[in-house]
Amino acid sequence: MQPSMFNVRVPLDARDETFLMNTITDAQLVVSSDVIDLLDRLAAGAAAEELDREARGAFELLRENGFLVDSRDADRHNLDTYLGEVKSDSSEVNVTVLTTLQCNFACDYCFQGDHGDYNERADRMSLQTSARVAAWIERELDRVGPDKFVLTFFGGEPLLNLPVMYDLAERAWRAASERGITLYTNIITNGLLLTPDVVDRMLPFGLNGIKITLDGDRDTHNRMRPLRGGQGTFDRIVENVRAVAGRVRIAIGGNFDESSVDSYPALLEYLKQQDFADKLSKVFFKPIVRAEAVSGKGIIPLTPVAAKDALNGTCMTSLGSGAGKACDSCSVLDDKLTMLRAETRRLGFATHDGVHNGPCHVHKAHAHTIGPDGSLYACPGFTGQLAMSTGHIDDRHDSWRESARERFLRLSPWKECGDCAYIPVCAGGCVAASYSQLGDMNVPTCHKQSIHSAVVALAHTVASRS
Amino acid sequence: MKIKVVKKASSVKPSGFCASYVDEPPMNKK
Repeated sequence: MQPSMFNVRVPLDARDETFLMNTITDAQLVVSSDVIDLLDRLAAGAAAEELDREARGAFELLRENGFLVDSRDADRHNLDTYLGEVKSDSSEVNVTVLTTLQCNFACDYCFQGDHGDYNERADRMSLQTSARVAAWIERELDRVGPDKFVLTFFGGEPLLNLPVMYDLAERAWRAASERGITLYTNIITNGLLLTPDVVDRMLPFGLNGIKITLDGDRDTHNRMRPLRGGQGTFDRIVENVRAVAGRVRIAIGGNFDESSVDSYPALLEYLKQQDFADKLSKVFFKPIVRAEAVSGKGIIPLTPVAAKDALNGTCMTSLGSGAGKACDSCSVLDDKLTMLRAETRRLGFATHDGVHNGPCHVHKAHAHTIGPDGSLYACPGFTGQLAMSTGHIDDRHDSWRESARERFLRLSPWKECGDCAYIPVCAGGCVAASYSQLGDMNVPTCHKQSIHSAVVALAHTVASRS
Repeated sequence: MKIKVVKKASSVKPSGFCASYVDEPPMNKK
């Protein structure tokens, strides 16, 4: 037996102990230094038969939790099995519906650029298409037979097309109920048009949570996320959150760059002071990929190896325009992300740990995004590229869609990641970023530093509890 | 040798967090 390549160690220096995690089994231990010595001896070729009774007990516990494997081939086999199970998992059908690509915001970092006549051209789902989407969902639920159906409304701004959201939510709820499937309906919105009436209308149809974005404190948010006319939006969004908090789970997200990140602690303090603070189910911020890349001193930015390809799809950062470079956020902003995560926790908000990430939906056979015209995609990032459509709600058989579907099913960017311990929680990074920035969705975009920082933070959180 | 088990090995698969978009598919658990 030998240590698994998916083991991660974080020394807890103050305690002469080490946090151990296996990223494929998700087992987590805090061990004394002699256990680390045991792992090193086994890595050097020591046989189990040579171990004394105490070491043998530790050996068995490490083996049971995946920290010891027969060989590197066994690690590879376990990885293939794990990723295969993720891909074919039929316990959950996940559908993200873009009811419209129109948006009432003019976010500073949005790929839609100067926002001129975008809304005049942006697609919008009709009620007729909504009915056809519902019929496709019924066929999909019958075909897959899941326990759980996760339906997410996204855009554009989904609240700009309320009739379709209401219609589809009701039809989906009926379809899930008739089949004994639990429905979780989510809305990702900028929050400007969110009202108690909207929530009350959706609650009977499995409404589970609403995600709203605040990009820093009041002034910063108003600069980053103004209306198309330039007016600020912070106060109205906060009042809308206050009006619906307690009726439904609310998650707050935020997107920071070097110009806005320092305002986030003030935002967190502001949120903590609000009467709805304890009603927020999650608070999580993430870095923005910008056209003008941010690099730390002494860091040489990676250079795209192929012409950049604009995705122009759903609501997303300039990543969708092919701007930025792979690993942009693995420099200056990475440290900021770690700081913000710690600050979020310190104020008592639940947040994403930054470790348990993927593989994301693009690697799941039963996760789909549906564009306003009924085209199916493997990921929201590709919805502006019809050639990347993997199917259609009408079940029409277009050879080019079949070809795209095959390409997504064969995705394996992690094969270029060598023996990286983080493959099970990353799977090679964002496929949309690889496509738009590197010209090939089957090559990895690496954020190892970011994930490792999150593991270190997790280790110290665990240590502080024990 | 001291081993504190914080979390045992699990076969539960990740929900698929997206760190790249302005917004990620959220909250697919109760």
